[in-house]
This record gives sequence, C-alpha cells and structure tokens, in this order.
Amino acid sequence: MINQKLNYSAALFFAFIVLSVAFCQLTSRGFDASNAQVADMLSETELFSYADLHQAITASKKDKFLIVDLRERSLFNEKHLPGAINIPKQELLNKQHQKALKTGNTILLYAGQEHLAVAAQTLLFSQGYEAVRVIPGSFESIRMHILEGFNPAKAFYSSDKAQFEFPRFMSVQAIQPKEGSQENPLFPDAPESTPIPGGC
Amino acid sequence: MAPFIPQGLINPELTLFFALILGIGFGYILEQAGFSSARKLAGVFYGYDFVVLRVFFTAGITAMTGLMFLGYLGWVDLSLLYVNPTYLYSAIVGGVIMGFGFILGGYCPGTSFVGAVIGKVDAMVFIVGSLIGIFIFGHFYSTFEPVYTGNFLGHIHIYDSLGISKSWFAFMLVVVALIAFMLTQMIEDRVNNISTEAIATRPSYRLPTLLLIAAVFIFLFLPDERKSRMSEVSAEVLMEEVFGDAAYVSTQRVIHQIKNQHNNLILIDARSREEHEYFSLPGAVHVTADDVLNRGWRNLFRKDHRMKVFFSNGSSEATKAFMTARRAGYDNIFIMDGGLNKMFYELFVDIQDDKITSTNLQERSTARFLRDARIFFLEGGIAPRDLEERKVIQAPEQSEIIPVIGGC
Repeated sequence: MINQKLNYSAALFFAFIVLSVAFCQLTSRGFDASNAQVADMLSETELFSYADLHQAITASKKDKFLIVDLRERSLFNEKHLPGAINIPKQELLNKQHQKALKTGNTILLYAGQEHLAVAAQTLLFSQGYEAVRVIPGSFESIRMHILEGFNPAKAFYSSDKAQFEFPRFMSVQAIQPKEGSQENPLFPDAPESTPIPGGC
Repeated sequence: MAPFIPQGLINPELTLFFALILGIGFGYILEQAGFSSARKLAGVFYGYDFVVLRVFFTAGITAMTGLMFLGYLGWVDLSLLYVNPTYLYSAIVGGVIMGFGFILGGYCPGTSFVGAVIGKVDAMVFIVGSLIGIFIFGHFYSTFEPVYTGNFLGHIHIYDSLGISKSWFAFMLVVVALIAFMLTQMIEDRVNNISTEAIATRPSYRLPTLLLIAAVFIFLFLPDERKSRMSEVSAEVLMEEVFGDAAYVSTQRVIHQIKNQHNNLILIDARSREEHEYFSLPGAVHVTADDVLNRGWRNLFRKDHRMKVFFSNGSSEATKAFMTARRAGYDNIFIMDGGLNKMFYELFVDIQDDKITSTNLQERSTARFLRDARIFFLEGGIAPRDLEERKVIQAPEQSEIIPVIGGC
C-alpha cells in the first residue's frame, strides 16, 4: 500500500532542498570564504612586522614565504624585495597569478601604500587563501628601514598608527554636553540590551 | 532574517502574546496526538504504544533539519538562538525523577495540563503533585543548590562535545530516528500481537525514509553558511573600486563638512574603541570592520542614503571596514583617503599660507580653505555661515540586539 500524501510531502521536501541548494550555487558570486569569515580573518591576522621581515629575508626562512609585490611592473623592475614576485594589484585575481600563489607558503604582500596591500589581502582571503599577511607601510618605508639597513626603531612600524596627538590640535565640538551631565553626547552609551526571561 | 524578537523586528513586549499563541498550538497538537491519555503516554514504557517517541523524534529532526537549512540559506542567525545551559548533576537527577513520575503518573508536566484542560481528574491531581514538588524544592533550595548548580558545562552543543560537525550529527540523528521508528514498530506489533496480514496492509514508508536520508545527506557537503550570496558584490567590482579612485573621498571634503556643520556625510570611525574614545571626528560613529556585519548597523548602511565615509589613522583599518561593507552589498560608502594622519598633516604641518596670495586660483582657494579650517579646529573661531545656534551633528544610532533568555 502506498501512502500518497506522505510520499508527495517527502518528495516536495526533498525537491525544495535540492532546488534551493542548486539556486544558491548558481547565484554564488564565486567567493570561497563568507564575508563573516573574511572579517574574522582580518581581525585575527596581524601585520608582518619589519622585525619578522628582516629575519625572513636574512635568515634561512625565505623558503617559507612567498613575497608578492603588488606595484606596477616598471616600479618592480626598478627595485623590489629580494625573492619577491610581481603581481600588479589589478591582475591579482587572474588565473595564471592564482596558480603562482598556490605554493602552500605564507603569502606576504606589499604595495605602494599599506592600505592597498590590505585590500589585496582581503581579496585573497575571500578566494579561500588563509595564510596571507601584509608588510606594513609603503615600499618606500620598506626600502628605507629594511633594504638600506634594518632600523630597529621602526621594527613595528605601520602607517595606520597615529602620528599626531589629535586632541591637542582640535578643540571644536559639534555638540556641547549639557551642564552637569556625565554623558558625552557625541558618543552616547550603547543602549543596554534587554534580556527577555522565559522558559517552561 | 530570524529570529525576530532579539533583532527587534517584533516588539519584545509581545513575547508573552506569541508564547500564548504558540502554547495554544502546542496544546492542540498534543491533544490531537492523543497525549491527554495517560495510558497512551505510559505506553512507551510498556512497549504497546511508542507514539511519544515517534512524535517527539519527528518534531526534533524536523526542527533540526529546518534550522540547519535556514541557517545555510542565511534566513536564520543560529548564533542568536538560545541554548539551554547544561548542569550535569541536575539533568541526571531531574531526568530520573521525571522518569519515575512519568511512569507512575502517566503524564509529564506539559501533557498533564493537556489532560487537565479536557477534564481528566488524574491529570489535575498530577498538577497538584507537581506544584507540591515545586514548593518543596523552593523551600529547601539551599539544600538542593549544590546538586542543582553542580557541574555546569555552559551552553554547549552535543556535536561539539562529541567532536563531530553539525552536519554529521544531524545525519546520524536522522538515521537513528528512522531506525528507532522501525524498531519500535516491530516491538509494538509483537506486544500487541498484530498479525502478519495486518502488517502487510500498512502503507510503505520506504520512499519518504530514503528521501529524508538523501536530503540530510546533502547537508554533509554544505558549509554551515553560504560562502557567497546573490546580494554580494563580486570580487572583480570590489577590486576595481578599491584599486581605482571611486572608493575614496578627500580629507578636504571631510574638513569642509565638519567646518560648515553639514550633514551630507556620515563619518565612521573604524579604529579601536580606545582610539575612538580618546579622539574622534565630530559626529563620527564607531563601526569597526568586525562590527560592519552586525545587524544593529543595517539601518545605517541600507536605509540612510547619505555618503558613509570610513576613516582610520592611515587608511588600512578603514579599507578593511570598507571591503567588508561593500562586499555585503552596501552602497554609497567610501574611504577617507590618507586618514587622520593625512588630514592633520595637511592642516597643521604642511602649512602653505604663502599660497594665499598665489596667482593660481586653485592654489589660492585651497590655501585659504586650509587656513580657515586650521583656525576653526584650533580655536573654533570662524563662525559657520549660519550665525545662529550651531546645528548639532548627531551620530546615527545603532539598533540594539536583544538577547533572549529562556527555552524549553
């Protein structure tokens, strides 16, 4: 005996799942890591300091890294880090360059400006690469503090560190706090979350 | 995207109203399944009726596969679902007590109310008994407390404890459930002396069983959440924007906004909380790359049509936040080129006041603009065009996420 209703329901359930998964695959944007995963990787991955870079270049650790210069070919040909390969940033996702990146080594990126290397790192994370780090600063700072002699004072340099005592230069406030009020109206306290008790 | 109450899509004050509606539905289904009968409920212990096992196993695997699938589609945020805390001692002791109570009285706490509502006196007495038990527990709580709160393992998931993935656990549970259905049917038939002829006339469950196993089998090859969504921007578009000029806003434009107290840009500080609290640009809201995907900021990025400008000390943190937000499909977002370091360098270090008298119009205007801005920021000296009370630049508010405590 056949239970028609149950069979139709089960077939419908199965078809819904298969079609939904197929639709998701077809409309995929081709990323190999979700946006949330990439955001986590960005927050967990630290910059590759000049101290580490100096060690990587001078000691026997060169083989563990793949150094990628993201600048244009003409700039790369003028000067670059020893052992670096050149992948202009606009060509980062080209298939032939993707093959060159799949060596299994940690990829170290540098560019004309630090934030461009950070952008390239984000793109590579989204393509499924996991071991990708950014060499801080621009090539100019790398040249000054590494190639022309390691400068220990700049061992942990980053162009994203504050270079000024900002409050000393800016006294303007867009909103004046009310007298006697402890609250800073520019940055109001985050609203407290409301726990909802419940249960059986 | 569910769940709705923690994200404020349904007013949290309506929680009890929805609890009432769901409770009515749950009670109706229990009564329809025959769970108001103590004989039927106790049948699972005597082997003549396993309806309790079949109904609850079915409910469990249906909810489990549904949630997993909706989580994969991105329609439910599984991290916002409440997971009961595990207190091992009280779970074991309470389970033993409930087992005794179930087989002696023929009801569990929920089904006793179902029976009582339709007039069963034994169910009413069961409820009185449970209230007495609750009173005794409350009265002597200090004695029971070490057991009640002992061996707290946290809000754990069984698949984490077993060291397997969520998908594998789901697949194994479905297989176990289906095997349990077959075995319990066999036990029922034997205990109730059902004839072979009667068994042969039953509908076949082969096709639904195979389809369900196949559906859950698919989950083994799916990630917990989709790696890529239709609403996202492609990697090629991202690359073109961030490596071109389209993603950047000049520091002078931001200076102009602050100086003239316009409200055309939303300034977003992507640096750490400590740096933001120490100093930030007037009216800036604090959203790091980690927070961009937070539901609370969705209204800011989706519904507010002003330009959103990320900034940091340089441009690196701002770029991370920009990439995350832009990939999520948010429009009209930019990076302040060079960050605060460049802004302050232009305003206070690279002073070119000598160009105020330049013959080149652009150099003259820029030099004058920067000089006026420098005076404004240092002294608050130059009044805005509007000489009345300064307009207030309000930081946009973040919608709150409301944690839900409680569950069955």
